[in-house]
Amino acid sequence: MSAGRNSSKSGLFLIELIVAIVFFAVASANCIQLFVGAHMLSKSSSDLNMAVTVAQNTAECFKLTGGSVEELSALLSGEPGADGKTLTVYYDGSWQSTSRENAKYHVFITLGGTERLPSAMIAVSKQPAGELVYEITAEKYMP
Amino acid sequence: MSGKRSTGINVGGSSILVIFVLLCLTTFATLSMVSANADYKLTQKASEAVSNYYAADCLAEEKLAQIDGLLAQSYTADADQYYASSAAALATVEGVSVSRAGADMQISYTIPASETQELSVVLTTAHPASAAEPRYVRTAWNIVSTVQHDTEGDTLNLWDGDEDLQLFIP
Repeated sequence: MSAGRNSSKSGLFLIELIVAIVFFAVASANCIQLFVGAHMLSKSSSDLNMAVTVAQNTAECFKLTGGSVEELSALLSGEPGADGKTLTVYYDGSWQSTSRENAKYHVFITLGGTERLPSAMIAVSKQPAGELVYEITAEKYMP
Repeated sequence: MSGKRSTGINVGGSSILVIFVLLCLTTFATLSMVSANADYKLTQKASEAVSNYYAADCLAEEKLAQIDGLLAQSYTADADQYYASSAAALATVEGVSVSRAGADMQISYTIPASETQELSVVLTTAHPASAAEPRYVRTAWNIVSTVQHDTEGDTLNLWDGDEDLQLFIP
């Protein structure tokens, strides 16, 4: 009779353990989903933060050079476009200037406006998909 | 009579353990998500503020171009009556105010940046010696708040510099 009672208790314990494990597996999957979501959101936030900083730096460099592609290219270590109106600057994962091959992000600058009032559209995007992260337009009056 | 043998973990012990672990896991996961969300919202607000600033900056540069054009025209038309003709020409530009500051003339205007901020621009213009000389100097170009803060009440009782109150008597 004692052996029967022990066997019954072991069976009950095993069933409880199985139910607990299944419940834990389902609930922890949801929790891990939350962790992953938080991590992705944090990455997006970091990308946006750095993109804003880089775009601001680029805008101020543009204002300093007054819209000259050559000067801007030398200042930012960028690649001028064939039309002479665009410039691309490449950045790696740590937002350091790098070559096109190692780039994780790029800043595409489109120059326009007039001689007295040049403008620059600055777009920060991810490589290689080209997903736009941040964009601003800057102008500078040259008297 | 032999003593009772220990049966190890009792029924219900593992359930309590699982519940405790899941509680901790859920708490940390929720905290992570809330913290990341709050950080992202803050970053978005910062990016909006920068976008607003540059949008206002572009408009301010365009208005500056317009003002400088009028100043150049006034100087070319009548250099002797430069200030008077400039002031008259600038009076036609919306949102621009002109005032005399000694021997110089101050031109100021504002461009709205957001609901609570505006870009305030102040230019100081001296009488140029020739048409090629610069006609203005940017004295101020900054964001100012348009919200009036109510400072009455709800302030700490700070010392206002009254020397009558002696805290230390030698």
